Amino acid sequence: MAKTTQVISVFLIGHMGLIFFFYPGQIIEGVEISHWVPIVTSFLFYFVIITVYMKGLSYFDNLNVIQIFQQMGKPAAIILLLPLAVYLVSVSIVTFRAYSEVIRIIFLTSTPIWAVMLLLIAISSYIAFLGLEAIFRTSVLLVFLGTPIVLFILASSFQNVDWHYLFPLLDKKVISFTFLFTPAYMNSLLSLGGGFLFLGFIQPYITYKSSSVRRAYFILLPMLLISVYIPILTFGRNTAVLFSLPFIETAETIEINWLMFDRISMFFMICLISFVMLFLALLLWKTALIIRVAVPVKQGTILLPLTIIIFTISKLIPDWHTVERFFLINTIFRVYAMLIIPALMLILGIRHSKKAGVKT
Amino acid sequence: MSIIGLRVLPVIGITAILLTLTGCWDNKDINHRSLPIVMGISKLDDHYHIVLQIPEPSQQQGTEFRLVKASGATINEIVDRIGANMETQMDLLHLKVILIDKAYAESGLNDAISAFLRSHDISPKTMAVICDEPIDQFFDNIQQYSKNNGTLIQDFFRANAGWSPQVATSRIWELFRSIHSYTRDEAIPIIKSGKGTIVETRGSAIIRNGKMVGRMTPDETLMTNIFSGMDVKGKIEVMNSATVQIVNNRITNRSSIVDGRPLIKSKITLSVALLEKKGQPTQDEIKKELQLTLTERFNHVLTMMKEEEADILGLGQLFRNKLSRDELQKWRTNYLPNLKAEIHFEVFIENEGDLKMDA
Repeated sequence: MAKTTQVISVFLIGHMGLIFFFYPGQIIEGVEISHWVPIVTSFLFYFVIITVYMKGLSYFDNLNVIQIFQQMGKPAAIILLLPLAVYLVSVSIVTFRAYSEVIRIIFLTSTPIWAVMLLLIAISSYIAFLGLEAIFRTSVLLVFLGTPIVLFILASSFQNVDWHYLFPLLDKKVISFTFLFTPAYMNSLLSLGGGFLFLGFIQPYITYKSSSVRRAYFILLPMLLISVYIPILTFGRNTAVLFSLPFIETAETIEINWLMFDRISMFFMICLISFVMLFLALLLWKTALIIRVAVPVKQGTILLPLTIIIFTISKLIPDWHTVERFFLINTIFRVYAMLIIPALMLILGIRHSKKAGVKT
Repeated sequence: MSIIGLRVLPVIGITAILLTLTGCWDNKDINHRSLPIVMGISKLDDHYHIVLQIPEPSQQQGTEFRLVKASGATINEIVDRIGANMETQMDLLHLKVILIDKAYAESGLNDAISAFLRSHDISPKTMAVICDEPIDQFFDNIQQYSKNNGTLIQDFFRANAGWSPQVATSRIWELFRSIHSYTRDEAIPIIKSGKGTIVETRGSAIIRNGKMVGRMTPDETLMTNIFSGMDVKGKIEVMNSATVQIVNNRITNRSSIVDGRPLIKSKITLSVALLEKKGQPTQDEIKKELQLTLTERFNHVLTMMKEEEADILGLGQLFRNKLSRDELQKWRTNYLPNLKAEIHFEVFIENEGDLKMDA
């Protein structure tokens, strides 16, 4: 059964959770002026990748990445999927750790980090345990509950904007595209990815219309622009670059007299955190699915040890610096998951269709 | 065991487990928290001195205030020490006003402002105000008035309460921005305790890169508020021939670079209502006089800006599309002193009140 709406809401929710926390900081750090150039670049970059990925998948009739690899035999599948599994596990660890830190910085300053992490991981793995259906249905609910709040905050975040900060619009340095090779920009690009991989994992359990997903992707462009430009227009680049979470900091400056709540940014962050929880649930679910290729047991049986392992490793990370190092080590696997997998899908897809053509 | 027993037992079991839960983590009830609303900071020989004004609800007579004072090497250390000495948890989240001693402001606020933004204990929306008399004296003087009005100083600056157009407003985050900005400086209000009225406005301080470098009168502060696009309606202008009240204001700026010198052309449209007049001036005479008064005042602000190399009007912002980033970096030193401004006040007398013009 086609469930395009649900797929789109998971797609958007996952990205929203990723965009508003670390992305603006990385872009602002990576480029001095004309931030729209790198933003649009990364947007188009992912558009191409997602198109390639979905095109490749479309050659196979409702098969997911794992099943496609399995057609090539079990050893090949394990070799191809192993880096992906490493990627997913490490992304889960980094994400859990990073967002627990964010929660602690923003609202639970006196709570120990392991408690925050435990809660976050427990909820996510419980959702993952309930299965794909649960994840996707929850996403629709979250979109309904979260959209009004998110839109309200996004609209009111324009309160302290000074449009003069938009200038200079274009700069020679940016046009030379040297920013592509700065570590900050690389990180921003990579932190954005990972939100689309699930598109290749959910068939045949859930099917969708790929053209609609591609259209929904365009909603992300204004979101990306807002997440970076609101801090810049409010603070100016010089100041915005000093914040670790620029958008969150900007949301803190919103003042609305008639509202009885002093910190409306809270609601925004709670919404985003719930988005992230769902994204993490999906990550866990994908990881469990891959592990099952090698260890054929039930989905639920895998999740418990997986959760414990991820929690233990996240707890072993002592500081923020280590998280960043982890992020760097992870780069090869990220590139594999984000570039090689979609490309591989397209190649395999074309070969598959040729073979099928020869047979008939 | 019966089926009912199988169902009921787990429920009882779960309920029993629930009883062992202790409630929220590290939660402190509101009666165990102290929520200071005003913090006074002064600095003497590398030692900060902090005064916190903490409201305490009492059953007899509304809100009582407690003043807690301490000194130490850093602000966070002092707050921590005060918290340790108090029977309640110190919570700065609802701090509304930070009152800064003038001498301290003159020596530079950068460290304190960054500390506030870094620690996240204090909302970036907190207002920064400079105190024109010793902090302790200020608190002692307002103590007797603030018995029944806990949010007194805060109300003084709130647009929907006691704020007036000639008073500057400045949040901690705006101050932080100005410290790191090439093209923007801030005006912070200056107050002292008054006689009769509790707080007396004393104009505003010019803060350049986090340091107080000069001061402006309330009338000059009005100029900065007009330039930042604020609605200054309600301000009353007194002249020789008449007294008028501003009812509407609008500003349009055009910036250009002529022979390497920045040129700014501003048009300020003011609609005023006539309140009083002396003798029989015509409408044109009133307009002319108002234009003259305001232009003179603006020129004075501009001269001051050039002297102090402090861009309180944020004029450099208007050149962001004219100058490159490297040039903007030198805005305060190279461009601002050479700035040429052509300012034009367009005045409309919207109404003459309930009497006719020549009445």
